Amino acid sequence: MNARRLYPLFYLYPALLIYLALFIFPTLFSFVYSFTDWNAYRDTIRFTGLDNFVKITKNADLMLSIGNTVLFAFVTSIGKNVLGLLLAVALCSRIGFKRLFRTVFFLPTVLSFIVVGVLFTALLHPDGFLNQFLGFIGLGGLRQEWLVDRSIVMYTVSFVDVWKGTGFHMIIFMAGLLAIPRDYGEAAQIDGANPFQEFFRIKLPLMMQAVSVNVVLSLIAGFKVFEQVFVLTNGGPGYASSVLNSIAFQMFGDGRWGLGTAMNLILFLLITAISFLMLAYFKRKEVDI
Amino acid sequence: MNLRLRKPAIALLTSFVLIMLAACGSGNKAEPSASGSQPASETPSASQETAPEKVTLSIMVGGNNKFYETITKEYTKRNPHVTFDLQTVDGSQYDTLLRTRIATKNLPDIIGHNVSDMARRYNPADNFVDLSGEPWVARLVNPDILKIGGKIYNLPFAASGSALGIVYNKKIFADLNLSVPRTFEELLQVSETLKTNGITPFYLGNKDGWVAQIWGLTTFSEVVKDTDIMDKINANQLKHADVPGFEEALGQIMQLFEKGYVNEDHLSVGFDGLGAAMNSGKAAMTVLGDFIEAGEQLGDYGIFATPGVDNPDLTVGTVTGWFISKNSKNIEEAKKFLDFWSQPDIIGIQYAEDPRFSAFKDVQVSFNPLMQGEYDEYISQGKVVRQYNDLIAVDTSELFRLYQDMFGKGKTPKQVLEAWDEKVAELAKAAELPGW
Repeated sequence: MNARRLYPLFYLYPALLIYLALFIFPTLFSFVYSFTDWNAYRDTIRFTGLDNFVKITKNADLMLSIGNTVLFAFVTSIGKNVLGLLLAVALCSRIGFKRLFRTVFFLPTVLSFIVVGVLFTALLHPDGFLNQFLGFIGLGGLRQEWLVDRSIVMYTVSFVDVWKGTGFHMIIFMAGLLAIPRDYGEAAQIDGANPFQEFFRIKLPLMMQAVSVNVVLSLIAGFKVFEQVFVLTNGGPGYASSVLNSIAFQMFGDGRWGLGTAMNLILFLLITAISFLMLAYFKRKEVDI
Repeated sequence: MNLRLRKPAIALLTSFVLIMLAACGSGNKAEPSASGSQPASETPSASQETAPEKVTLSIMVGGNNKFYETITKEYTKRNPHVTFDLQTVDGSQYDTLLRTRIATKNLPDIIGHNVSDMARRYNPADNFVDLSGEPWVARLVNPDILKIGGKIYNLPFAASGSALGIVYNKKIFADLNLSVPRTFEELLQVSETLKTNGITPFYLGNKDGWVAQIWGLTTFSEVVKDTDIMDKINANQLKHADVPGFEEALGQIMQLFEKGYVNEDHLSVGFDGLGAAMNSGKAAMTVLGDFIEAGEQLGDYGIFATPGVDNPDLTVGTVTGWFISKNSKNIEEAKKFLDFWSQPDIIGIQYAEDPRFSAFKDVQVSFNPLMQGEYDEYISQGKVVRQYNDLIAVDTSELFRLYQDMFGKGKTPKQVLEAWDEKVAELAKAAELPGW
């Protein structure tokens, strides 16, 4: 069907121009800069090829930050989506106070990262609320240095992010659930399906679009993590909880701009690859009503 | 209205909105640096006859002491045509902001910064005004520590920098009959006595990188004193990992941790919490400097040099002061302001709030007991040593993070030194220092 265009094409040009100038061109330039030794200490820039990337692979701390980023992305994605789905199912069933719970669980999403960070820094302090509470209920042996112990700091940061982000994904799952007509569920029950079968065989496939959106969004947000790490630990202690973005931030502060841009290029490639893979995977799984 | 008339009208409106947005955006930036318009060659007599043009001096400082406002207000009172744009920048962002502004040639008229950083990173000869001929230079107590390439580029706030070492609670020491340790063994003994008496020997604030580095800094400074180690390192003829003194110094503080002499939550506490924690009396010592924020209980404290080696001197830092940007359009007014700042009654306002060893011969400062003790035992007898951070040719902020990594048990002292050597090599090559 050939719909008559309501507005001429050149209405697009101003916005397109701004988009090109402020987004596309700088991004392309940054890809070029990541192959140079651009830094704040000299006025000249030299093309150095893959030097920056070799440096990154040889540096244990930088590789740790890449590993932390991937770990964070997958842990928070799984956490947010599984919990979000459970909450969505619970809030779409026949329980009371649905509106209240919906608000309560969505509230953390609305808070700013800084607020959440300051709050949890106090809660997770060695003498803070969490450790005191554990001691109070007799689980004193579980007390940890949540934000300082190298082996668990990344999981602690992930936990705070899951706490904050689950509500958002819950809402999307609820939208997906509520769009499924009742008839399917009722027909399944008549045919003798138990709730699990009803959920996994009927509801979930029909919700695949919502799942796809949620998983890809949470993964991308997970790879781009910065504020959570910056406010809670600043990448510390040392480099234990550093992530790609926090390292790139440090490098820019240090004046080593070429290296920082290279880190960002790695991030871009990671996100693009994972997003395409995930989107393709879910596209195949989508079932239309 | 038909569509033929609407099309050009809409296009016109769109471009109009865009132009307005662009103008508003750049309009704000143009304000601070261009509002002073009089030429720099104005002679003093001329300014008295004609009403002087309005000048706004922009000043960038880190930290928010009240005396900045007090003094600038006083200057405006006496010179009504001058107003100030005081830009306070948080300490952690200061270096980044300064570096960006120098690179983009967008400096404010006056900048507060320290001499060694300026000399090392920001090429003062190119970016800042030579002040060697100013009237107040003759009154300086210690002009030598200001000289970069033989010239003076700043008005200093003090005759010497902050002292760094171990701040201790004199009352606790007196109660337990402890004397100031001058060797590392004595320090261990003192700590053991404190521990058996139920007092935490050390309360450290290692969450802040610049506090975490103080032990390394003060011990390294002693290791390199009166040697050519730093010259060799800066010329790529020696590596930190090859100097046994460095590894020993870091091993010493790790010993303090192993023996349980340090507060358990040291990585969760920063500078802000230190003053209050020390005042509560639960710990006897902290690795810090004479700038500890102890409020009224400041008199309870003394400072002694970190005994990494035997009978050490006190590590002192570089001096902070005012620099004038070469690109400023108000250089003469800025110079007048600096001269004003150096007057005894004016700089006295600064010293009253933030006592330092006076920069000028004709200005007396009354010290709090902590600084008086520091002065008597170390400064007046010349028992000082320049801090390592001023002697290394590259920026040390990465080293702070390496120390925190070591405290978090991510690296051994040897690994810290090796990683630091790598970082120094990178930074030196990036800056194209000779020898790299």
